[in-house]
Amino acid sequence: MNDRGARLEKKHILVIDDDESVAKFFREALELGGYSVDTAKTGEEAVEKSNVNFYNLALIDFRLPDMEGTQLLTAMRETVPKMVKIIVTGYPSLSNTMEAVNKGADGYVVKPIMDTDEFLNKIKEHLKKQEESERYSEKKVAEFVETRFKRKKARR
Amino acid sequence: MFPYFVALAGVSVLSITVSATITYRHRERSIIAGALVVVGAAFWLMMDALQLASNSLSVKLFFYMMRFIGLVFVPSGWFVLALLISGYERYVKPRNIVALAVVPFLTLLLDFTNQSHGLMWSSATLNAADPYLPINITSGPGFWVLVVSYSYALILVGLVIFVRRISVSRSSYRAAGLQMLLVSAVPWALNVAYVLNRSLFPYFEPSSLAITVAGVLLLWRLVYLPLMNVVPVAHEILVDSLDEAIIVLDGLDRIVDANPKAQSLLGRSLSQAGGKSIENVWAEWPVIRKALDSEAGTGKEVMLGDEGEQQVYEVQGSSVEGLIANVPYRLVTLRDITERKRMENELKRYSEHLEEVVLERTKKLQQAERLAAIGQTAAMVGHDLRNPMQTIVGALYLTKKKLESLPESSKKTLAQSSVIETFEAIERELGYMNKIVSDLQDYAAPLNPELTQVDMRAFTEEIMSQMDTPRSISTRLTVSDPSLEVMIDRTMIRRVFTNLITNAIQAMPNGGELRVSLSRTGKDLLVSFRDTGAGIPEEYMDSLFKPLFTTKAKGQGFGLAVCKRMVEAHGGSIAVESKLGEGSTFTVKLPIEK
Repeated sequence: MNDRGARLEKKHILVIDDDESVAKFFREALELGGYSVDTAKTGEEAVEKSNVNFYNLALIDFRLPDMEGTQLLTAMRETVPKMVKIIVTGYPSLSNTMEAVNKGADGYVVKPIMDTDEFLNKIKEHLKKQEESERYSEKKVAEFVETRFKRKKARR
Repeated sequence: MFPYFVALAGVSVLSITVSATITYRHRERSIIAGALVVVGAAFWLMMDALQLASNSLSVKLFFYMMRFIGLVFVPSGWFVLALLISGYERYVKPRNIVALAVVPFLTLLLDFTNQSHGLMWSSATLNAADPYLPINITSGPGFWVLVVSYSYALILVGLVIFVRRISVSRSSYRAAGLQMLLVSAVPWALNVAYVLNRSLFPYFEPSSLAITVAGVLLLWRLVYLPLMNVVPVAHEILVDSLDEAIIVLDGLDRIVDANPKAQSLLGRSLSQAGGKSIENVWAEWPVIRKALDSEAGTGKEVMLGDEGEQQVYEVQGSSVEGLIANVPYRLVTLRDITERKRMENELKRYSEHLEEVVLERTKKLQQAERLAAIGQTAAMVGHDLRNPMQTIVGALYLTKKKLESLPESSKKTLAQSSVIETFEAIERELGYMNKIVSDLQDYAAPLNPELTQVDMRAFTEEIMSQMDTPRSISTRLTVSDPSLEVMIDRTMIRRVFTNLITNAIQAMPNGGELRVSLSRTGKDLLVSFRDTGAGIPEEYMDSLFKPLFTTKAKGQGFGLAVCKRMVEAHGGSIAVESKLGEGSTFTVKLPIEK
């Protein structure tokens, strides 16, 4: 029952962007999409918040006032490896994309996002994938626990 | 008197030995002439010395007579030497030497036959104070005429020749010449002093000793200053072989001398032209004269010769003074500088061209720098526009969502107010803005093509099939070479082709034909896109490939500029031909081999 309850809970998304208007739009759009949204203005703030709270997904601006988005990626890959990380950039280029992917980004979107619905669908997909892989690992754990438990039982 | 005898005899023997050795080692005419002077003087000196060794009048008189054998060689030898070292070698000929020998021969004849006529000396007595001292002699007219006058004349003429020679010499030779002159003049001066007043030299006549010593010094100078020796000879050869034409004119502009080069310029030999006024001989003279009188600079250059075969000469004039007193001679030198002039002109032209090239390059560089600066700014502006654009797009989206959640009745009212259409228009324009910003960033971004082997026919066909071409426009692809494979960056060239095809389609709003053709010329692949559209006005042609240039109300502005950059990043080029009302052809040239 606890499991199900957690799943029904809103997914948490952290929007990291120093531009308040942009951050506000993301918050509103994502909230409309049914997510719980937090914002951070700097890389540091993002690291702090992600350490305290759990987020399923982070939208990371490519350029932040205190660090590059890719630096933040590297930092958060270690602390919150399971969080889906999507880079948002105003400067699309192949080298930027490659760098982001290499540093552990799960996705890459370009500002301005002309089709918001499509964007929301992408987010949904990412989160679904995450959920599936989580469920898969949960299942594994459950199986593991079960077998261990059974063995213990058997030994007795 | 004995020490004197020994000393003088010693000097004599030593001098003869030295001069003989020098002559043996350096068998040159001037050395031989010099040696003749020394030997003559040394013999004379020996006879004088032997006179001192005896107190008998007849013995003394015998040696007195004998001394003339040596003496007669001195002036003649000196004269010949002066001719040789002063550039009058050509006069030293056997015939002239025989002529020179006539008087000495006569002198000796009179000398040995004096007893019968007394023309050389009329009386001789022993010195009353000391019989060993030179005898007192009363010389006869033969002595004064044949010996003194003749010798003095020869010596004087020799000195004059020599002095003239020295005065026209270069300073390095002049110093040596003056030394030699001094050495030659001292014994003569002593001799004059002795002849005028014998009592100055009671013990012996100084002339023979002085001449002997001076002769040896002269000989030594001649050997150790071989330059001096060869200068006169070399001078003539040098002047004759010079590339410059040299003409010597006297005060009345009559030709005195001309070297072979000058003779060929004059068109006649020296024997034909010599002594004649140059004005009458040479038609070009007035031009040269004018050049000579002008100030230094280009005025010193004259053009001579027939039309078409003109040679440029540099003219130089200098007056030669002292050759003959107070009559200034003029030395005119003409140097052929045609070749130099040609090279100078070539160099000048080249440097002018270089200047042009540098200017052009600088202009290009400045343009490139300007574009780079614009590019950087553009990229920054583009980037900074993206956030506000995002906000607007976002606001639009959110508003639409809110409107969607309105009750149906309100929606109807909305539909009537055409708010939705307005939103769509805003969205469209935002899309266009987005494209401009993207192009701007593309244009500013560094391009590094990733080359892969591409079959151009298939590649082009694919792009053409993917284009959204209106029905009114027919498209055709012609390929001249079935296998055209090129190393290109697919993405970039795809954008270029897409862009050019889009432009062509837009140029034909009322329909027409788009012909794409692939061909190869040399090492290049040519892809041309020909439309039958409106064509491009002449005045736009230059700015066509510049960023932000467009004739469309909503053109890309960057389309062709980006195309150009991308093609150039491949080492290729893009060109356009157009005729108003007939259409335009854009041709992309890509290198097949790198």
